[in-house]
Amino acid sequence: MEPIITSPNTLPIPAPYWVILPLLILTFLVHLIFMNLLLGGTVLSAFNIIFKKNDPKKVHLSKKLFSFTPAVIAVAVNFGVAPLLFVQTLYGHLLYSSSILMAIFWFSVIPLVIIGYYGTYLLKFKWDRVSNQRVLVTGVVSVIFMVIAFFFVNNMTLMLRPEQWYEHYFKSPSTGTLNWWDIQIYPRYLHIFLGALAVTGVWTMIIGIRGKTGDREWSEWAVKYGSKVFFYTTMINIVIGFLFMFANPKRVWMIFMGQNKLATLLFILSLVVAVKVLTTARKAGKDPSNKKHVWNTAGELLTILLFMVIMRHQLRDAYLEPYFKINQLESAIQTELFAVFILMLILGMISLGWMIKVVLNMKQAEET
Amino acid sequence: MNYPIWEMDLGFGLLIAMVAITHVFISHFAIGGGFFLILTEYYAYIKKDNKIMQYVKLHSKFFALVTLVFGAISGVGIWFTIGLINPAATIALIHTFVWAWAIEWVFFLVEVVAGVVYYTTWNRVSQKNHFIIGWIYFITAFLSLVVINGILTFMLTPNVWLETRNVWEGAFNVTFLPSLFTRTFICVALAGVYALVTASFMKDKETGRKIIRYAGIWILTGLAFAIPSMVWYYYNLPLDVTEILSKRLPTTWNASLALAISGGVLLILSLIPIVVPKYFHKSMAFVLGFVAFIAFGSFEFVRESARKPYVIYGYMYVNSLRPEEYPVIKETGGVLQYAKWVENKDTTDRLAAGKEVFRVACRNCHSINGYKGLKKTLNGLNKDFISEVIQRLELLKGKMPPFPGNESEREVLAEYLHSITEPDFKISSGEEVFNKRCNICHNKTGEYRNLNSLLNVHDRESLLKRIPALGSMQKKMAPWSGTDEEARMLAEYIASWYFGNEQNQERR
Repeated sequence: MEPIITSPNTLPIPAPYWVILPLLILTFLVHLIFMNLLLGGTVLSAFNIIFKKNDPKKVHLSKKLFSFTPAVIAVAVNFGVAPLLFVQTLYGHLLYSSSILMAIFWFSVIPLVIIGYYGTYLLKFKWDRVSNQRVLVTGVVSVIFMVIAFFFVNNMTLMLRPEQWYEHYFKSPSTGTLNWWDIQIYPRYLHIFLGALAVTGVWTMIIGIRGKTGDREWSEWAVKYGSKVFFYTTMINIVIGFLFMFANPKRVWMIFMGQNKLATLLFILSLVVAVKVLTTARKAGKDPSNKKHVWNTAGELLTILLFMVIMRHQLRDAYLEPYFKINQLESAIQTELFAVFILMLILGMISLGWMIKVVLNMKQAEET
Repeated sequence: MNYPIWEMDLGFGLLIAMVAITHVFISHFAIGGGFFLILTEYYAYIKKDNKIMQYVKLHSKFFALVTLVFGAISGVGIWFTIGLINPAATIALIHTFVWAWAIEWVFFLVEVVAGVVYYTTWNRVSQKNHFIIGWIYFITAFLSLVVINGILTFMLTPNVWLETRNVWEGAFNVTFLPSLFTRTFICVALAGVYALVTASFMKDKETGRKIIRYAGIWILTGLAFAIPSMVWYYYNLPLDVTEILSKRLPTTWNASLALAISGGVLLILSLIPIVVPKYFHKSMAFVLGFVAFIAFGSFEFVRESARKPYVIYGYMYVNSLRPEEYPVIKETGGVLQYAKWVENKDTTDRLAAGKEVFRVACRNCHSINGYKGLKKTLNGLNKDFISEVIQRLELLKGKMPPFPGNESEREVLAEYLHSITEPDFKISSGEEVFNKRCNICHNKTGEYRNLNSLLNVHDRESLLKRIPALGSMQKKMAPWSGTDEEARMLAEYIASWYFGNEQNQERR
């Protein structure tokens, strides 16, 4: 069966693809960071609540992480909207098909997020009151976010496999289907899952060094613990990363093996920075009072994440190469409206900056 | 036809209605409620009324929990849903309005951050800064309504855009302002409706009563301005208001009726908190909320149904086809040849092909058992009649797009649709015959193709004779295909009200 690709050019897009693509990549990077904090934070907390409930330090960390989670979700969702908008603009004709192919699972993301979101609010506001049900609530919340992540991995890879659609569509047109058959989703899922834990490790280190008023022993422990979480998950993740790469078709992973120079360069750089960040995190763990190491770890991690997001895009284009290239999109440029967007973005950033300043000043005043 | 179709038996119309109405009911509160918070906070500050300030604080937490979670996620939910149920229309909107949505996203971002900061910084930042944060929240929330209102009204009245494809003309269309005014005042009214919930739960009854009365005034003010705005809006709909009154569009008519009734009830109910706040029990807050939900939901139903047979008026039919695709389908050799996601490329396997024609041509709006379910509608009708109706879809009340398929596809679709009906179903009354066979195009009375004036017969016998000859009357009429017994019942039924009419009695 011929792959079914719908023409995306019924109406033109309002800017050349190279204007939209950087927006997609940058907003997705922000989404990725917060989504990692959300997934990793809830899973790590749940793990500690369920299996380490006699370790007060770990329970305290869970409480701390959950106190941030609702805000993290708000930002993660918000910064999910922007890349979802841009990915629809560039790849909508593929994404809609794959979404419909996994219909009910894709739709269920919405009620699942709502339940998970309220769950985290419950933990934030009623931490002590739900102390007996904490295991249950944290367990449910973390499973919900793990499932949501799985559905996203499904859709984001199913949209890349138009040659498989036809066959799988007719198996269950009333509910939709997940792409269990696609072997690469397992290492891919594991890769982002461990990545989420790693990012949460660094987040824990930052919580540790930011805790000015709290007890110092706990703060130092948090830095050590965070560095440990980051170190081990990242070690494993390098191996998983290779598995993930080779689970893709050869024509796809070859782009990282010299066929595409930028992809290969980014791949090598990522490995180099990965080794570097592992040593930096180690240093931070050994010397928890030295904030510099923690910030360096965070900075290096951010660099890797940026590389990863770009490579993720290259992987997508490599998959789609036989079917669709984004430069095939026709455009009819809307200059004025784009200018309004940029203007609003600037104004928005100014007001965000001002509000963040107000909050930071407030925290500073409260701490002294 | 270019995308797979989810065979969901709830029906797409109901799914999007559930998601969208829930969303608008909260998102409009997110705007009006923001305005309510800052004004009330200001009032409490000026009057140095600590109790009211306490209430505003409490209400802001409730506000944040409802709007930031349910409001925000259900908004994303609309995107998920429209992508699932009408991808062709969604991609058209995205390609045209991605920058508008990007602007809305900026507002959404600032709004959400300001909302979180507002409710977490009570008494922790200076009063002045807290006000500013509140205003940032409200202004961005309102601006996000302005943007989405442009896109929403575009779908209903794209007008000039159809010629020019100019995005500004698309957004600032004829219903833009009436809709914006209507929605703005709905926001104000909803702020009052939600405030009643928190106010009626207050332990301090005296302050509670004060706020209950105050919330009632918000509702009344909102409605007082929303109603004329709505009338303005109605007069700019792409169809004549008389067309709604003529009941040509049953959904629009019913929704308008529901809107008028629930709006009126809301108006009356909103007097209770103003006039007798002490008798306002907390359960009434939920009753008011429910009525407001029905009213607002009906308003959205009016908008959705007034758009028919289009999803983007004049550009794309509800079945995802653009009018200019019809001749292409004909040239290609039918929908099965044209559609990409089908297994049967021809009608050899008649039932399976019929099912596929149903999926690609009808599923966008119809289900089997759920919303706009066809099983119930078609029970008791024979295959020939179904086939005749398919030929005349655009003539039916409710405005459907014409059937895009060819002759043999129409035949297999009719066979399939007949196969889903209950084989033992028996039509037992003339009224039922009328509803199933006549009422889909004609009304008894009223403006639209009403039989009272169209039918020109003098006695029962000629009425009975007329029925088998229906097909020869004019091309638009489907030939009679029912049984003799059904014809007799139908004639009896029509006679029962037709000759009761004075005017017709004279004819007699």
